Amino acid sequence: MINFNINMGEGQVRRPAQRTILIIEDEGSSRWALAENLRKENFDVLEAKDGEAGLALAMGRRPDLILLDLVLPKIGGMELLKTLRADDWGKNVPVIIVTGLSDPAIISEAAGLGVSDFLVKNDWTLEAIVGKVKQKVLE
Amino acid sequence: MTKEVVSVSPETSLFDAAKLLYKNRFNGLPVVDGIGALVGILTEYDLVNIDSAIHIPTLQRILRRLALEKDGIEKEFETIAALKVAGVMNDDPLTLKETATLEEAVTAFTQHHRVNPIPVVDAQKRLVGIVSRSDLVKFFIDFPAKKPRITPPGPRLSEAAVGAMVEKSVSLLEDKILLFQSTISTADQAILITDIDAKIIYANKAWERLSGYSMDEILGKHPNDLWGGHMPKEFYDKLWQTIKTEKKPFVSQVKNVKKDGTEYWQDDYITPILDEKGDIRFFMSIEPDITDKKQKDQFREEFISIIGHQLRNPLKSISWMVEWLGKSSAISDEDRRKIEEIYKENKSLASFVEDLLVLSRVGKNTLSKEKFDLKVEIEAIVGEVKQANPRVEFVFEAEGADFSLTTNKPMAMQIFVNLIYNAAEYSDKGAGKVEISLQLKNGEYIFSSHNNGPDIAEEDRPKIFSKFFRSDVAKEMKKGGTGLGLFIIKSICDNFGWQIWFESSAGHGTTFYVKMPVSSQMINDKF
Repeated sequence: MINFNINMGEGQVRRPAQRTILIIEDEGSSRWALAENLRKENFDVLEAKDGEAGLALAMGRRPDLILLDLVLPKIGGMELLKTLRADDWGKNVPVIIVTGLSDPAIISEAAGLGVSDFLVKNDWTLEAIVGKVKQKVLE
Repeated sequence: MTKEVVSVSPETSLFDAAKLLYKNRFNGLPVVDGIGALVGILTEYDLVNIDSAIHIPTLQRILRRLALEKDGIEKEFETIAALKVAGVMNDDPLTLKETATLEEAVTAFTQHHRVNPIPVVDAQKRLVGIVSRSDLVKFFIDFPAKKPRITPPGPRLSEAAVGAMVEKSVSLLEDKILLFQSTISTADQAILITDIDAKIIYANKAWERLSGYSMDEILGKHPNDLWGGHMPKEFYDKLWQTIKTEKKPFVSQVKNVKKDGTEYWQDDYITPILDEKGDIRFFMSIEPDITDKKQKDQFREEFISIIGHQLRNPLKSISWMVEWLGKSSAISDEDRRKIEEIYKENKSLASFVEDLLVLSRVGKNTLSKEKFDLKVEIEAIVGEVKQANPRVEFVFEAEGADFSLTTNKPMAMQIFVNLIYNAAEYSDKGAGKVEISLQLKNGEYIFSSHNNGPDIAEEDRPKIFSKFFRSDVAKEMKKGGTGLGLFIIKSICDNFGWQIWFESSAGHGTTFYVKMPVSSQMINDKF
């Protein structure tokens, strides 16, 4: 039995670093895996498990990049993105959508809202996603 | 007639006679006296006739009384047991002389509706046989087969008798035609019947729906002047050779054009209908109706979609966790190998779920359409596949400038991505070579994807587009395949009205072709 006794609270900051990444993902294990692997790369990682908390964290902490799931409780990913893009700061923040959905209609809608990348989770390894984040943040 | 007749005497108890009738499923028993002369007939009818006041009605009465009083039963039973055939039988039965003609027999049965069977007697009124309605029916059914035996001296029928028989047969036939018509006209499949010169004599409702023509518009016309005639000459040569000369069914995909000009590919099954001499009377063409299939598949598709989405997230989580675990420095090499195996298995399960989800989207009429250049897209796919298979040599040729297509792009891409990946993955292990080509011919784009891998085994060829089919070669060459790739491709092609086929031979590799009518991309809007 694996003990997942690790604090996965929202807005948790583990160690100070230059860049801040916000992960908005409702699924605990996925969020944990992403967060831990990004921390290993020296990122400041903020975590939110629903759209409402995610939006609040984004506006309050202004991360350098947002990893966004589309299917989220309270505020859906697409709605969150629209709200974000209507904001002065939010309209320019890089957003990478990481989702299980590969529906072309959703992809094209998200593209219209200016996302940096659209990653369908199953096609991407953790390593590749971390690589993608590094590339976007450092470019 | 039957010559070995079971008969009873007038003194036989009615009970025994009834048992005989029931046991042998006779309609009637002739009653003969001590010297074999016919004295009457006992029929089922006599046993239930109220006037004769016995058996069934009586028995019912007894049974009813049985419930009320015990004393009365014995008395009733005695009464019943005492009954003799003589008391019930018809003592003036209709008979036929043994010299009677078949015609007389037919007449006897037609004139006396309730009579059955009729005893046959000789001049001394001695019973020599019995003839029943079913004997006559049997005779006429067997008539053609038994012709030689009965013709020369055999019975002759009068015109009236023949007329009556013919009338009866015609009315039976009419019933059958009615049944056939109602079945065929409401069938889900599109059904077309032509005469031997391919002039249309019947089209069912599904055909009208599919082609856009009404039956009145097409009666007497040739399919080639309507929706057909869009295939190469060799196709029609082969079609006619098969159905007209070899008299065999012809199964193929055929390109037709609807009344409104929409082109579409359809599975078509054309079969000759032969008469008993083996001559062709009609041709029947059957095309499956996609509309109906769609409705039936809808529930299944939604079901798959729900399951698929529910499986997807946990599979992804497992995949990430296992990947992460595999990077841990605190594990032995052996454990790392186990973790790699878990990772691979999980990945193949995830691709299977992806395939299922793609499949569940095929045929959804909510699919959006966009215009794109096939050449540009295929070039991109070739580049991607090349990267994944660096040891394989790729050639891409496109004859012509414009390859624009308006359809659902992600679905269409499934076809080309799958075919090009397949070509690379199943190409020669040592010196793999893949040639992709695109051309415009007679208003159709033809995509082909050739590789120099092993050929597809003869026995596997008909099964290659089936669900979950994987050839031994495929299993050998690529582990973790889902067996859904070609099935998905075929489903999408069917849905788009595109034609897909392949050629494969030892030493020459395998080529898959996809033919897309340039004007066809809207076909499914009609459904």
